[in-house]
Amino acid sequence: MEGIRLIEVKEEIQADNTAKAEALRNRLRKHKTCLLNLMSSPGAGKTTVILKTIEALRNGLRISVIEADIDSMVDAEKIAQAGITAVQLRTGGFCHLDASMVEKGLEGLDLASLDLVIIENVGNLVCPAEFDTGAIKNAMILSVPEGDDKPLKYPLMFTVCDVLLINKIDYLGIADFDVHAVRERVVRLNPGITIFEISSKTGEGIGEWTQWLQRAVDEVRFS
Amino acid sequence: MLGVSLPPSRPMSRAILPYIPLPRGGVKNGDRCSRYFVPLLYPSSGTAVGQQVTRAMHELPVTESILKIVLRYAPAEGVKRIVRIFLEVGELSDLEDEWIQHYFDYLSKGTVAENAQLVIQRTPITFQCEACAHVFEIRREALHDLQCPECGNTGCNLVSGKGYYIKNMEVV
Repeated sequence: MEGIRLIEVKEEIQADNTAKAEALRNRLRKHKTCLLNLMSSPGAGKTTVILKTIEALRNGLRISVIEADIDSMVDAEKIAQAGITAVQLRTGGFCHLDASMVEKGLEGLDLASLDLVIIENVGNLVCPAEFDTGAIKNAMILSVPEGDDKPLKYPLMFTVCDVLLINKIDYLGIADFDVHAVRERVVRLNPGITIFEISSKTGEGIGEWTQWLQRAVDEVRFS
Repeated sequence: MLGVSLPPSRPMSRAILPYIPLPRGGVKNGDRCSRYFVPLLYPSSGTAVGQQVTRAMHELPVTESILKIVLRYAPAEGVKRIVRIFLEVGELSDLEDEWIQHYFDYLSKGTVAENAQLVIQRTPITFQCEACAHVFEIRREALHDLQCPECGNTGCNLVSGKGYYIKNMEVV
């Protein structure tokens, strides 16, 4: 075999994205805009939770939404119908967002005139956890019908989030779901996480969640 | 407050900025697709790309990054061919080693990295105890029973176990 030599590389593959994400966070803080990255499986209730969140906070905060889906404008249209500016990113097969894609989405918005931007990430419990979007806060939704073993199957997602919303608690009587077990499993992996039990259908628990979000936004606004 | 100007023929989308960047000059057969679009959505842009469309699956962005990084070293180091690339991947990552190699084989065609073998070593997951600050390794199978081996506390923060690192590579 011809002379094989070893070349040192020593590079983190995500270094580029991580640097972009940090730069984006700094830019957001300068503009006093809080960016929230919302993740979950498809169908867990991201869009509905966003709509309920907007309903609760829009009187005091200027909000926009970045929608990410593999295809369709369905979610952005729902947000637009509520009178909120929405940017729809169609990823065309890409299963998560990264910092450069979020930057593109933000190009369409005037950060100086916004207090809160919510990213509705692609429905997926695997990849979004691996890619820093530049968001200031990460939140995820686990819905009751999905089952209480998700923290065991997707540990990484639960470790990267600041908040877990256990949604569709109106199903608790019907589905086999041990809320206490979920709380215990999640807090082991991420003791700093805040957990809310909500129903985006009945509105139960939404108040506590939106109060948390308001405090997170205020922290950025008044820093 | 809507304030976004779009063609008036779509009043419902007043507040939406559809954003899908397309390459200048449209798309032709054989074009490698970037992740922001799938040409099949734009039949008016010309011929469908069909089989050559790179469907963006989970492992693809990571594989693209690996290729980009190793090719950056090639010219300066006078590399004629990359033989093996040594990677360290955290045990918490759900990406499949086999698929990273498959995608790499596809993407690297025609470059000095063509036929390079990816040697992937899984690195352990480590957590730090909130109570006593002890740092310890844990196997993925044992995560459901996560607790500090020093003090027994069940509240630990992730230190490492995700992420992808290119250590070095064998070249000719």
